[in-house]
Amino acid sequence: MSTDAAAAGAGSGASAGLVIGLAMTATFLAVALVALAWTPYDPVAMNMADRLQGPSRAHWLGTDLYGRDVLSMIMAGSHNSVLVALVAVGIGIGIGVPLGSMAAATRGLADEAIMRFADFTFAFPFILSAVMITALLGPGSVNAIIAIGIFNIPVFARVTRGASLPVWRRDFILAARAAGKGRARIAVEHVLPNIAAVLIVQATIQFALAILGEAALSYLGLGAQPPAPSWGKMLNEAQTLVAVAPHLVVFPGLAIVLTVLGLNLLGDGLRDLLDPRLRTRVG
Amino acid sequence: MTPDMPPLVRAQNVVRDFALPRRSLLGPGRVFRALHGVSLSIERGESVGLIGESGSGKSTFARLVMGLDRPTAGRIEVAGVDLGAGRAALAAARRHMQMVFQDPYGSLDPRRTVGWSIAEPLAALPGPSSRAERRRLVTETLEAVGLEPEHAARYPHEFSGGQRQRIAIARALITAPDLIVADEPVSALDVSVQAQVLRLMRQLEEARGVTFLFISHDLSVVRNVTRRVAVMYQGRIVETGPTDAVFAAPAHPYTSLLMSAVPLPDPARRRKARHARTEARPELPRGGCPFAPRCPRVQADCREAEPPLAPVEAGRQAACFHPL
Repeated sequence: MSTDAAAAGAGSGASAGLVIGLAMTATFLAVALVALAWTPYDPVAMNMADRLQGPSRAHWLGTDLYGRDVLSMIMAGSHNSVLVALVAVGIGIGIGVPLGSMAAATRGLADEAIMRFADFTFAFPFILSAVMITALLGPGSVNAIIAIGIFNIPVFARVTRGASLPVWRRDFILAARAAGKGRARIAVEHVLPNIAAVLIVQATIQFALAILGEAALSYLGLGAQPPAPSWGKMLNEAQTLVAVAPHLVVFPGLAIVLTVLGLNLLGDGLRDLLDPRLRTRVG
Repeated sequence: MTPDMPPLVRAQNVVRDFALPRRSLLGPGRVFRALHGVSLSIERGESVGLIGESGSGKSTFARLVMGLDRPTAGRIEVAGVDLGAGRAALAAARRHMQMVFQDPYGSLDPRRTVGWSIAEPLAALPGPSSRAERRRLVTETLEAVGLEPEHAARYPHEFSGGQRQRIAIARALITAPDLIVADEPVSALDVSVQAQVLRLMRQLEEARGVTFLFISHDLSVVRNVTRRVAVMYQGRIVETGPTDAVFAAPAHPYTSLLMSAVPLPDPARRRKARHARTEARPELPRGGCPFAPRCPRVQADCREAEPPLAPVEAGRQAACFHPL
């Protein structure tokens, strides 16, 4: 089949990035899963005797100001990242995709209204609007999810509309209309399956952005609240100690960078793999 | 045919305008009239060919007959049902008609199996049809168009253009319609495949009593499959009549020009024909016959009034003051 042929044929950059991205994302998810059942130490247990230690055999990534094990905190902090990102992207897809589908299916006034609302939302920088929303609702993981989720709605609405419009012009849509099907049914049965690839790629990229957003909000003290471990909060607590204990900044920072990089590589790789124009060029 | 039975399709004075973009923000809204009051009747069992050059309004008319678009003015009835009389009427009329599109690569959803696509028109029919019943119908229709039952589980990209057009015909056949509107159904196919698909359509016409509205710019194709033809020029029907009679002796100068545009084996005649075809397309004249600027037989009166579609002999009409 053509998809397999493209995967085999694109042996250069695109496919290598996809494999690396897939491996990094899988590692991240595996760590989060393992941390559900086991971490080397209790991530919230303080041990003043062992505070501010560098990496050692007992504490691979060292300890923080309160003697907590950094590796355990990073592992446990991944939960917060996954949860926030997953639910926030879910909100974006759950509301944005139907809105975008409706805009593409009806055109006219509803389309204008939805798209101008999306423009309005985009006029504010993401962090600014997230800070505004959490300031209104109060700090906390749930409100961080809502803030990031709201930002994701217009992203998915726009992508869905943009990808749907050319599909609506295809002849098989006319055939479905000639068969007496309504617009909503055509959107679900014909349009969405044809744009699924685009949405999957966008979801991967938004997932990475959501992890970054959660870290940023937690760093500002608007996300996860103590003592719940979170990568952003670890950076915040460590910033005054950069000179004394640089490992406290380096390791959570690396966790964020590697996770986001992995997801971006995965998203780009998937896009190259699923984009029919690139596929024909490879073939 | 009983005289009190309504014709399968009856279009009366159908007009379709399309809004054009304004030249300036406050300028007047401009309108392109794709159909200028088209009237056409199709009797059961009497497949009609609609011919004309691209832009003549053939496909617009096809979409109106299928209820995919609404006329600006005029009335279209299919099997006695007025398509403009609301959703229920349109749904009732849809039971009687199906469509086959030009591009067999675009008219089948690449993400759906062939069986799914063929069964799609059944969704609009009243009464629950069980899965087993639907599968039986899909199998039966696949066989009717010369494909294998196991093809139902495959995807469109696994088929050739000719096979895909057979699939599209199967989709149109599954509801046992009275009318199939075929918009350039073979012009995207190789010539050898064209012949197979046309033969299939002729068989279906005889075996299943399907009437075709066959739209094409290719005269030889229309000549093969239809009993009557209607020739369109700039949104008007300029000549209708039995296919054989019209082809043997066209009454309207435009029909005659179209026939001379058919590829000819004789190089001398080909050169002459090319000359006629490449003439510049003029602005639409006001008032007079729309064909007057291109007409080799144009007279003074042609520029003053538009000739109505009038009988020239039994069963034939032409919109010309000076028919051939």
